[in-house]
Amino acid sequence: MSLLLTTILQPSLINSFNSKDWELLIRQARSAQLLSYLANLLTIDNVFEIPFKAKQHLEAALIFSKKQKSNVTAECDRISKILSDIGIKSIFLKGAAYSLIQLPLSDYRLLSDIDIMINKSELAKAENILFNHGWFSESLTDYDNMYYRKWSHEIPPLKHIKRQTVLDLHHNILPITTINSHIEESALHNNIVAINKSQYTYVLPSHLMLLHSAAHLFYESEFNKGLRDLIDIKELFLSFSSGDDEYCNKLIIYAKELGLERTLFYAMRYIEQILKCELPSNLKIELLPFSPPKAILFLMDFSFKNIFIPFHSSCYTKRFEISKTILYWRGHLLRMPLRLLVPHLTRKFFMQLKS
Amino acid sequence: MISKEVFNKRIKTDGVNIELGPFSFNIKTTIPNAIEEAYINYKDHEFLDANKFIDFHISLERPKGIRRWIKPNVEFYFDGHSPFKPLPLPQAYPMLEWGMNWCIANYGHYFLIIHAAVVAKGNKAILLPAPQGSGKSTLCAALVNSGWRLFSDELAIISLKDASVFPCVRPVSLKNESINIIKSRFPDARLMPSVHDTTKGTVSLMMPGLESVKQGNCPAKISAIVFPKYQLEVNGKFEVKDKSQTFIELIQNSFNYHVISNQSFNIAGDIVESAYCYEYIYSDLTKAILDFDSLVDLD
Repeated sequence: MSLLLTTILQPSLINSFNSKDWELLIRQARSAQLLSYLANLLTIDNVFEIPFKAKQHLEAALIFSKKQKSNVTAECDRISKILSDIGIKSIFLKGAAYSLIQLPLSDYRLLSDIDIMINKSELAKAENILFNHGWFSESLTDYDNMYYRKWSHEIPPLKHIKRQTVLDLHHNILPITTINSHIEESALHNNIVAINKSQYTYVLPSHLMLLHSAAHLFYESEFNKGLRDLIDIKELFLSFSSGDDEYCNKLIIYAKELGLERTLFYAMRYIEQILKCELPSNLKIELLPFSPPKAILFLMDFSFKNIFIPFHSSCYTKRFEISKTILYWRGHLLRMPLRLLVPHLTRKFFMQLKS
Repeated sequence: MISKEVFNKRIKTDGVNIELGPFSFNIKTTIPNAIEEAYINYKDHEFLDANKFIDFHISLERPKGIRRWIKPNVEFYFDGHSPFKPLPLPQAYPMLEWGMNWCIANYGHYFLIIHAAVVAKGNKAILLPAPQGSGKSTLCAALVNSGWRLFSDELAIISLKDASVFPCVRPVSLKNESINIIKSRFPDARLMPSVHDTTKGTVSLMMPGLESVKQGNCPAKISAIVFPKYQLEVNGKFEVKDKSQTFIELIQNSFNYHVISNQSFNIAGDIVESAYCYEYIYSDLTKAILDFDSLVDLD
């Protein structure tokens, strides 16, 4: 197990660390985008003595994520104001949503872009008005642009010309080509929750927030932020399920409605087995029927248990390389039928050669 | 001083651990030119033992595949992740230096970091914040060749506790015309071979002097903030600069003022309050050196 994960599971281990252990811990955490998470974990109650050099890096990471959080909420405000002018409701997703509802997690979670969902029919209008306010689509090849617009659940990322913030405009939470899961837009849009009684700023309800985060991770084909995303799911689960007896039930019901049963099964299985999150026993029983057949479960256990590590040179093993290959293909095959995937990857391969 | 053999062997395998003021770097590369220049620039610095905490692990690598042979490239890695696009191979060493600046500016939020050259005499440091093309590096190079201590030609690293400035003694990056100006005026200055066609034009790095390297761990108090401005045919002179304007421009030149917010507001305020603030318009370096000498002799 990586030094980072062992430390996250048992922080008191740091009492026996020498300078090189600290150095490695910080390197792994930074590579996994978990440095501020770690910093919060180790400094929150001031119970640990942390050497000066290591402490500097931890504090710098906390300062940075705190600043980012306030930037993000301000940016969300601006975006929803722009879209409200033409009567569009903004539904903020993932990191931006965690900040808007003030989840503890948002104090130490870095994000690289703001994700927002609107109705598909409103995309063109929204893109237009955002353009007038300085949000431009970055230059893409014609093929990439066409691909996004035809097959993806989002349009190409927009970047603000001055502030450089990146905005992902979605109309669904999974690509429309996804196998086994077809999510009706209405299933998402009918359940949204207003922020501060606003008429235009919304987030998904807590159970959909977790299901979305899980869908994102378990349909993924690249896992460089995998460990961070798994920790997100654990933290979401802990925040939402405490004080809401119905939470687990809602997870099960909506997983069924959206065709995300197996996704939920994996998410709960690995936060329990890898991150040692305690799950209520009746939730575990309810999840059992969502399990894949034994052989597949065996393969998935192998792959996921070896992929949720810091993407850092000190952690790479043969098992990790194999898992990476398996999950790369799994992700692509899940999100696209072969008749689309083969031409897509071939084309991408030649585009790469050319550049 | 480390021997060239040991240095070469280490930089190719485990990397060399160099202390640069308040930061430490582990540098790895097998690119011959970069090794040569790193040795020349850092041989007199403090090398850290293998059991010491290192802040930043960086390397220069050549991409595998066809780009190794056709228009060869170099990539900069920060602990395995590459934050920039590759550059042509001859720019390897400047890229290493730019990468080091990037590490400090992006992760050193335990200091207030300002884009400025810093030189000092005794315990008195002068900040020269200015945009590119203002002649800040030229002036900085001239001063450090005339008895001033070099702190940095790019980064003012300011303590959040007492507003003192820390040295980070590394080569001075001279660009375009200033390369020949410094070469002809200071024939003893050691300049690296010029690298052409970079994003900043032609670049030549000037090796830091031994005295500055030796005092590489001694911070100093900021006694003046001077905005240099190179102009043709003017008689060099200091003009008092409004403190509030200085404060604003200091912030505009900062890499992480906005990240640290509250604390940096107070620190920047303290600095501006206690330092002399000037604009310095000049065209002649001889006069400039005299003027700067008299600036610290005053009080």
